[in-house]
Amino acid sequence: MMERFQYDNKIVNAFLMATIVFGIVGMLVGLIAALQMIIPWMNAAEWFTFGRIRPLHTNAVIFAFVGNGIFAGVYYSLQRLLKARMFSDGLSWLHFWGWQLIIVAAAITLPLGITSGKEYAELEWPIDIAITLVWVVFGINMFGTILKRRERHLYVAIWFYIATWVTVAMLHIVNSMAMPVGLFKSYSMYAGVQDALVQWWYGHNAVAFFLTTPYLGLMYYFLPKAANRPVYSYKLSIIHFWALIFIYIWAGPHHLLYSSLPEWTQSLGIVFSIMLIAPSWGGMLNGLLTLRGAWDRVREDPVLKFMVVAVTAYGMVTLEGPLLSTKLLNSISHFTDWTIAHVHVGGLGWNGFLTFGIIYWMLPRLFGTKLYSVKLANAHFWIGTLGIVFYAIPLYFAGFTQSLMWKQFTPDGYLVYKNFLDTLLQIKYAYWLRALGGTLYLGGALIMVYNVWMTVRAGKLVSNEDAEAPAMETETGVATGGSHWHRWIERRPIQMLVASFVLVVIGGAIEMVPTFLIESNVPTISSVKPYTPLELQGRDIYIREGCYVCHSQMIRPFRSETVRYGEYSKAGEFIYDHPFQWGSKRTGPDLAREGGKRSDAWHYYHMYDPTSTSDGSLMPPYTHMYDNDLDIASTPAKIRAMMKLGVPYSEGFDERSIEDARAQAQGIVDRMREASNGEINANTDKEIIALIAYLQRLGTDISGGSVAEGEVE
Amino acid sequence: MGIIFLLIGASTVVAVIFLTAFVWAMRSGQYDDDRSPAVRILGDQRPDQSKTTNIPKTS
Amino acid sequence: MFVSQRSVALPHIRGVEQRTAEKYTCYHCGDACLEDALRFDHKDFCCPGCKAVYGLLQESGLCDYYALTERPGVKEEQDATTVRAELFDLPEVRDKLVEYSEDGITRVTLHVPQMHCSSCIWLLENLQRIEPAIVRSRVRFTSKDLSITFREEHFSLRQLVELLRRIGYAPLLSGGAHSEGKRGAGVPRMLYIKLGVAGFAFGNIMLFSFPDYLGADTSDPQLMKGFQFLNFMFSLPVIFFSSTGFFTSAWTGLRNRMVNIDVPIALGIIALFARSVWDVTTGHGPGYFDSLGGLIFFLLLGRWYQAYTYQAMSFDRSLNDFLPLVVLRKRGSKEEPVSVGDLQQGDHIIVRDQELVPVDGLLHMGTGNIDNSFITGEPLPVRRNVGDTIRAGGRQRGAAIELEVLRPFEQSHLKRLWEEHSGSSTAQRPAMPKMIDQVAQRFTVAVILISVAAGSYWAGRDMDMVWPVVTAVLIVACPCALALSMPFAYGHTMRLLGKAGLFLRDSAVVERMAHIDAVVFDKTGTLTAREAYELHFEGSPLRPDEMRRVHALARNSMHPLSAVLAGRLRPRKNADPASAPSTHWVDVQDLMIPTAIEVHETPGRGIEGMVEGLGVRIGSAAFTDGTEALREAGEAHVHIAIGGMHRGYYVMRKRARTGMADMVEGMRRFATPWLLTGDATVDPEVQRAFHSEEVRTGCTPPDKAGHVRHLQEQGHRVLMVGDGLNDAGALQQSDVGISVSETSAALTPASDAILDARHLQRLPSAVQLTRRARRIVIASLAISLTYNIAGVSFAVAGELTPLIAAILMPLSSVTVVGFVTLAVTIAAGRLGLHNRT
Repeated sequence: MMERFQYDNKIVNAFLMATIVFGIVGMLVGLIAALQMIIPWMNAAEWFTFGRIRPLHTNAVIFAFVGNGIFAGVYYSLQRLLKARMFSDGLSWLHFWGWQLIIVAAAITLPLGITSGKEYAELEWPIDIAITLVWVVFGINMFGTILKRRERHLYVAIWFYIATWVTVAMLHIVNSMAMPVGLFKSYSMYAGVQDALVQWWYGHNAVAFFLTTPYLGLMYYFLPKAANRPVYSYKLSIIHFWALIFIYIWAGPHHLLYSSLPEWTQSLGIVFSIMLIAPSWGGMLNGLLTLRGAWDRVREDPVLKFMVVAVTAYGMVTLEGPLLSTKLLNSISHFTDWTIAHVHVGGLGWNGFLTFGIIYWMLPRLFGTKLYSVKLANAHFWIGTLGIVFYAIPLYFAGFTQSLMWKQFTPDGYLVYKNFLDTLLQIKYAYWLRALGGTLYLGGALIMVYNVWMTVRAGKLVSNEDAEAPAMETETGVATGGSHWHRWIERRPIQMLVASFVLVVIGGAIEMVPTFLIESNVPTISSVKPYTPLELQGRDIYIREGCYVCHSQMIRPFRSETVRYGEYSKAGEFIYDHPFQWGSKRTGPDLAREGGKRSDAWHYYHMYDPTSTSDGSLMPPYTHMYDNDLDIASTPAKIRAMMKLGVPYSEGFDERSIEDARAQAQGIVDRMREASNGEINANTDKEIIALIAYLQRLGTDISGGSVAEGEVE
Repeated sequence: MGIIFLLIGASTVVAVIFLTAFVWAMRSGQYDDDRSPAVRILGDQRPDQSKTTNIPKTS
Repeated sequence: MFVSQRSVALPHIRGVEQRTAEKYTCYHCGDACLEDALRFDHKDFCCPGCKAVYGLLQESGLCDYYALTERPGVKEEQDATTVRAELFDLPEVRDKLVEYSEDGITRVTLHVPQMHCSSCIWLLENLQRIEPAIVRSRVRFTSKDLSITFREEHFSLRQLVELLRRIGYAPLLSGGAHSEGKRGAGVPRMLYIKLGVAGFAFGNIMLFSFPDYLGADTSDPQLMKGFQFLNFMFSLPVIFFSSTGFFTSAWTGLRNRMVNIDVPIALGIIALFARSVWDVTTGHGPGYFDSLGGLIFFLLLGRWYQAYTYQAMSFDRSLNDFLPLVVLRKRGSKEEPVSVGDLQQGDHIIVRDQELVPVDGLLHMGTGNIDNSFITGEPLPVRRNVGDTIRAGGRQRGAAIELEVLRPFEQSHLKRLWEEHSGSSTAQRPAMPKMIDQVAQRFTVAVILISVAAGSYWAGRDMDMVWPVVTAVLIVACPCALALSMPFAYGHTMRLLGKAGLFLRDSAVVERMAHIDAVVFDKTGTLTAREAYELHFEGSPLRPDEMRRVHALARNSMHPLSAVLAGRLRPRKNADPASAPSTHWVDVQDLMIPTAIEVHETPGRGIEGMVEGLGVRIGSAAFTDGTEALREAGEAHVHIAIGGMHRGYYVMRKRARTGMADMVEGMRRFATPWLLTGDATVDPEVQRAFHSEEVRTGCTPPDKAGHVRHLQEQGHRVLMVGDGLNDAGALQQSDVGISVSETSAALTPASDAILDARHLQRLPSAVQLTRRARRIVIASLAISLTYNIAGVSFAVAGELTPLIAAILMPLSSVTVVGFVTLAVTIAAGRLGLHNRT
């Protein structure tokens, strides 16, 4: 009757430690990135330039820090909520090591410039597959545990976990569809606008279902536990869950306001984002109200402090987000540091602080001892909070100022700040403060590391925590109402599992769809032609170096932008862009119409030492492009891949592609030599030439052919 | 914009999965008692738990 | 506000009661302690019971109980519903409760009305920490059920019950696993599912209608077609699953030759769907799927609210909930428990303190001290001596007595009373036309006429317009708002009344209450309080120390009067002796309460004992060798003798409930009051509130019912306010029957509403609110009609675009719902019905 079993704390502890380690790493990388933006020489070697470091940072904090945090929390709470040990220790550890392996792979490939060039999904296809497999392992383990549970009711937190699993699986698969070119290179299955749409549908939902739903689940478990009171309204939490689930999935397109996306898709995004305020705030209030009557505890208990700030931050971000998705605010905030501030309030406040709270709460229980020092934990709290403040406020301000400067016109209709660099240097101070904020936040985290270390030393890990619970009764009597209802409940998890696999299958089937989609949806701008082999190679370098991290390729239909950059971008211009490179942040100017603006020579000098052409430029130098030979041998394969994706290169062009590239390179080199009276004597085989070729092509296609309305879908 | 259908398709599939989950949860009486479960999760605290927390309890 | 509306059965009233922290409040139950609070572990406790529970929880490490909620405890109290624990050993009882029992493991489901907060749940689900033999205990809060699995060989059902009682959660015999009645109440799951599906479809349809709203239709026709198809798909579950309820109800209505509100609704739904399908297939437009989704969603929302506010309180309790269903039969020297039904004439049964007399019997041994309040509302116990007959339904207070059964339960007085009066009450109420249905009929006729007219008009001009116009008319005319206004208005009224202490059976009562123009009161227990007494001393005044002695002794007595006395005799510090009333003594040495020793209670006579070296006697005149003084109706005398000397007696008289007079006065505004009482005389205090011609004395239960009927024959709509079983007939005869109640034990057959006795004076405002609510509904109907007219004018002109429909229909519903809810809230506020105390 009463069954004895043991909770697996070992795996929880493993994930917990991974969380801490990668948390520190991720934050450190973030700090480095922050400093690189103000101290160009910190872009030490080709592997550590900002363009490669920032993806490393985002991946580290999102998938390594938060990811492991989720798993730690889930493995702890799931076992206790279901009164059962995890389904299989083997799978648990497979999950753990698999995930850490993926992280390490990311940490190696990203600095090497091996990237798919899609934000928050930079990892290349072999790693993507690994992620999928590990995710399935996690799924089996979770649903398995649900099946052998001893507690009939599935607590609301578990629903959030399930939602996370199902949705992330689907998002990851759909967004990662790509055409491989060798082991370390692939081209997104989708092109241009469509790629953008998929990418931000994914991007938004990654935030929604990787940074939000699982953490809400954790909140609903750990906050009541820490406060030792039941959640304010369980009914509200149930409504919260279903409302969120039904709305969140649709809110993606708002990331592409004013882009070349159809009007109504954008408006749709707005509407749903606004609607989201309701459920999000439902969750926040439910969290905060849980502490009503316990505020005296909050004063003493750092765990609760962290959680309160976390939940508050969640509330702020979920209010700000929808507001930012309105066209008015978006026209100001987009491409500026405002967005950076916004996401970091979420990241540092909501995810970071909740994780810290959970760590401080779980650790003593895992090690059967007291927390080494509450004082230090409180110190961590205050320093961390200070860090967030120093991080966010200057950036909000910076974003706002810079945006206004971009839009400022003289009375007689000229841009006040013609030179983009001026607007950047104006907010350099804010970058310093941000770095300071980051340092504080990291400092706080280091205090935690010490505190954790001392706690761990004081206690001993209760690897297997004894527990006992009666088996789930099969015969239920009337008290539970309904006839045979328990069979439903026994069956439901299986159904969920099946459904999820069906989903994955469908995801796989969808794999085929895009290819013919593309044919059926090529918009008509006659003058838009595929990239030449050299330009394509240059583009891949552009992607490898992560230029999109600082340079957008999307001119919005504002006067301030058309005057500064030229004709606004049309959907039709990107049909051969696998992947799209619209970018989401302008630390440097937009490059959508860079082609022909400056001489090849200018680019040649500029890439070698940006300050030589633009005084005070914060862009890193890319000297290695002048040493490295272009991997020209790969060209035919790339052309073939593109052709598979529906890019209309003439039959057999792949064989001719290498000569073609060589010829174009020669042309560029010659032109530069003439222009500089023999001063520049570049080597045609170097990467820089390909890059220049690409830059000079950007946005030039339609400059000749005029674009009539209606050509844009 | 055929891609929209891809996304809508995928999203709808998920949405429908959750709808089914919702129906199951409802029918199976998961939500018949919307008060106890919240309290129940506090139950598994051991009496000796006090020794793992050095935050003064004020109750 | 998500706390379940259901099961407002009166323990909950105790729950909502404002705990006024007096000098000390009990750490366990939060009741105000007498000045002599028990200190333990630096906490105050009002009684040994509470202290004991605290101790128990403390040693079981369950003190989180006090952390979750402030003062969550339930004071253990004896009332009609507490059942002797040994009864749970009996097969009858056990079978009733046990769900299964295999190799020593048993699961029972008990009904525990006392549970009211998180702490209760937490404690009840952690019982295994107190008693290891308990395997698992699960609470079902909404039905207040507790299902426990335990090892019966180590721990009997009886012990389990005793444990529960010890911690203040005495289970009822009623409503265990097998009483279906209480369960299934509230919102049916199916409704939630339908609502969920409708909401889901609605949301998605909105999504796919957006391009259309934003006029994107030019951009990509094939896309739009796709969306229209998706909308069609999503509308299928709505039409074929979510909205089935309306069709069936409309159909049954029509089959019974009556047009209910669902008829026009069903018409509208069908029109919407048919038209939309037609539009899409013929490429006329995107269709009205969004309106369809919205309509059904909002309508279901209304249905949900209706169900949500429907309070399935355990109004009609079965007689067995009150009777000891098993009694002790005495055979020779041994006592054996038997079920009441098996009692034969001539059997001898034992009735203990606080137990109901189950059958009419002859007092064979002991002294009866019978409290008939259960039947008559009359609280003062009457003395019965050997040889007297005692009628079933009275409760013995004092030592156990032995009765000889006169007639078996089936023929007993109590049973007959019950048979006559209880039963499903709302059913045979005098029919009153439901406003909504009247409206619905006229409305439907109008709609059909308009659509026909419009159709024929266009037939003359442009044949192609006929179908669109006719469908359009039916669509916008769909009385969504109309259907919503009533459930929300009345439902909300009902909830507010509930908060104010008047619990209605269902929202239909609201409308009935609005019509009443005569009100009939029962006196005893209704206008006069059960246990509130006016107290004064006759004789040579007692000195403070003497009062203290009396208090000290009285505390030891089981007798209700002694209890009253003990409660009322209060030490009072530093006031000057002269001004001190006869019930308060000026305390000399602080709060010391002396203990009485050699206490001996003689049932029916009195209690004696030594206090501070002096013999004290409290009881009848004889017992204290005093002289019996002349007693007025409803008066009781408690004689006091100290040191063997008779000092005089306390006169105790029932007091009318606070605000009674004003209440009656207030009722005059819309109803003529009547007072019916079984007593021969009416205490002056009550009398004053009525004109002499409004009072009828010496009424038997049938008389009361008869009087109500008489009034109705004169065309009055009668509100009956009563209490106790003997009012049941009248309560049921009346148009609206309200029973005033103090405890969960109150017997309230045949009533439409329970009024928390503490809030009697709110009755006029309550009735007033129902009348306002009715007017509000009428206003809201006007509003929704204007919307319909506006819509119809569009439709007739053939200009009802999907967008207009999509805006107009939800808008009307939202405004109407918003209006009624707001208006009712304001009205209630004006009438001061907002706060609970």
